[in-house]
Amino acid sequence: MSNNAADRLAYRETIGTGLADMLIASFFIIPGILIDRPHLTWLYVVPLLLLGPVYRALKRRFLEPRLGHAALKSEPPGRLLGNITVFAMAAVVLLGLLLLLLGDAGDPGQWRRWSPALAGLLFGAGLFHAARRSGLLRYVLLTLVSLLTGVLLSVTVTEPSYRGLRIYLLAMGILVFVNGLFLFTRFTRRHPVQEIENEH
Amino acid sequence: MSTDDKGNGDGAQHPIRRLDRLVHEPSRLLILSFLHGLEHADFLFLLRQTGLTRGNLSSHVSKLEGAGLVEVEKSFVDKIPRTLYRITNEGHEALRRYRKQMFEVLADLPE
Repeated sequence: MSNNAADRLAYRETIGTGLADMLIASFFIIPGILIDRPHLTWLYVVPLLLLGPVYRALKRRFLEPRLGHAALKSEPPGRLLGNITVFAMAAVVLLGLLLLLLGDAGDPGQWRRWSPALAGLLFGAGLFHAARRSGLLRYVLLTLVSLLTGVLLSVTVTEPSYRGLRIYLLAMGILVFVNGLFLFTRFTRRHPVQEIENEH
Repeated sequence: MSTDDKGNGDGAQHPIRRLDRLVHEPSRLLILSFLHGLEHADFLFLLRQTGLTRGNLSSHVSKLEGAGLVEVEKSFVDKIPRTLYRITNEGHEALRRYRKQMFEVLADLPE
């Protein structure tokens, strides 16, 4: 088995439980609720700070007694962060060029209007990363839904406000959360806790 | 444990005779392959992924540990004992060597 095959299997098995999806949903829902409330912007950092420790604690409590524990060979954080930054900048430049072609690049209202498409592209990239690493079809579908919903909302919600972006974030957040909840419930039913200790 | 047996016939030089039997055993090869792709794993994870029985897994891991291909680390997480298995540098090297030996074996097989 190649490095990638073992890594993919372990990643897929962990992420396939739905637990990660329920937590990832907070990245959509919290900004969706807080948008247009600048005095609460600091709350954006809550999921960023808490997600890792909360996920590890829940994983130990619910996943490891059923699946066992395996540590993946992690991607170098510098490379991952670099890729995310380059992709985010490329997406912003792309949208800027599009608005420039439409002659509206200097209008903040147009940036707000097209923000769902930008968010769809950025979150879609994250979902695509999960799809590529896990090989799970549902992440490919979520990537497509993210992109299509973002573009559709930018085209249909024409008012120059964040309304389209809020709808995008809440709709995607609820979709990802419900999907995760369904998978997690099914997983816990199908995989009872193993009464096996590391007995070697 | 390796196939260093000295035979008298031509078969003694056959690539198959040079295969490392410790690694060649399918269950041990499976365990090593999993650990090769991960930082480390615990007993339950290996048990589920390999499909071996508890006794078999324990026995094979002991052999790999005895040969220095796998190292065992015992610890406590939330007061629960946990044993982690990790492939050693010798284990990685043994897999690389085995891969090379298998290529030689396959190259020698008639089509």
